[in-house]
Amino acid sequence: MSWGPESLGLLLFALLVFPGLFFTVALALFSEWYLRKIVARMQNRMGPSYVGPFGILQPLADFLKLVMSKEEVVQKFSLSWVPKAMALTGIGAAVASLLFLPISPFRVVAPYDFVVYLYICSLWVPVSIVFMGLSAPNPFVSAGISRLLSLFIATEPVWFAAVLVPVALTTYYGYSEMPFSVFCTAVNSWRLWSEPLGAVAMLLGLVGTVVSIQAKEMAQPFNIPEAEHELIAGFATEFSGPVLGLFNLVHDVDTAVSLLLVTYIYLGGPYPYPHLSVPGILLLIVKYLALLTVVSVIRSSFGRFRIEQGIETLLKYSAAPVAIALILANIAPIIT
Amino acid sequence: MAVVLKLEPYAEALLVTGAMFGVVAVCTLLYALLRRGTSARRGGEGSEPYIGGEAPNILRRVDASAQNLYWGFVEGVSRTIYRVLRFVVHSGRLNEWAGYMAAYYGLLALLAIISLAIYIARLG
Repeated sequence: MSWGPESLGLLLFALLVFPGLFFTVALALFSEWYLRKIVARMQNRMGPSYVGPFGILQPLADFLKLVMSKEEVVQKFSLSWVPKAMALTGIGAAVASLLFLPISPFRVVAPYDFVVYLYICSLWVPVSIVFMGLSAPNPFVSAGISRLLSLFIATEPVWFAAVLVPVALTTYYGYSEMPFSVFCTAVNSWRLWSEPLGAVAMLLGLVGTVVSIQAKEMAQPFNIPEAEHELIAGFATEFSGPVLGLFNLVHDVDTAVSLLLVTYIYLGGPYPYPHLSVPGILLLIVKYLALLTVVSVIRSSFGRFRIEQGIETLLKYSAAPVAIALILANIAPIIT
Repeated sequence: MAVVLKLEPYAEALLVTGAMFGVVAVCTLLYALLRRGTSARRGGEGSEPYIGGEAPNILRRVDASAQNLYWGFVEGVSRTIYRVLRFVVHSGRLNEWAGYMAAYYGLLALLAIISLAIYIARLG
């Protein structure tokens, strides 16, 4: 296609409105409300109830309170602008990564672009969170950051491999117009479930992905870097006021974008129906909510692991299935 | 109407990184709007690092002290030596002590005989 004012306008719309900044923030806040509600139900509590219908606006109210009303107290030894700049960078990276998915009206596609996707989504966001923590020196923060880095070192390669499984399967089965492209995978991944060995690889990859998302988002049982009652709040000990609000937001946005990616590349998004159709939209919503429910149920079913238990669990239930799925992804198209 | 932009990976990486910083610029603007009229406070209550009620001077202790290193060695590395000394040598029973010492002196005697044999062999 050629560049023109129309495509530039569409790019701006895709980045800022749908599925860009405003939609992503709304989705992230909704996801947090949904997660809190499910966790509360499992713990025999009500969860958010008062702000908006069924308490749905509670995460927005929390965010606005922290960002607009709370005083910003800068710790004596901290860099005041670094945590805010890094949080905004993390949000920007997560939002820009949506250009790879078919939900965006402006899509970018290139051969082997899953590497670009991982660079934008899995490098910038964790790095921004690490630098947010490092900007305020504190013994609890140091302990939390060292745990965070240990967990990232185990989690991110598994996440890379988990993204690679459907991307490789789509390429090797010949469904993809471009090799190893995230967009082509997202459009065609629903076809992989009809291939006998491909379906097994997808199932194993999906199991590993769900576990690695828990670790990636530091949700229970992998909330080791925060570790309340042990490290106060770990790497987030010095976050307060607007910085805490921005950290919560970047975390929620990252969760929502990661779940959306899995909804597309593993569960097939709205396909075989088009996006702009009632069955397509309903299918997309149902798949996203199902995934979010599974993540919420896992989160509320476990206590926190120790760091070595967390890494061992990650290797057993995430790295191992994903490694088998990757081997299957390489041999399945040759066998069948 | 959707647009699909087919690119080379390098161009795609540049475009997406540029898009990311564009979003960051808009986010910064929105954040500045939300925080207008306020300023960050440095100093005063809440500006000390939160260290769980400990005295601030623990932050100055950047290196482990010699005493800590000593006890780290005693508790960690030399625990097995202590176990042998407590449960074998100092078990309180005379025949166990005699057996242990006999074995130890036997080992020393064996080493002495071997050393002597090697020495004589070299001389010859």
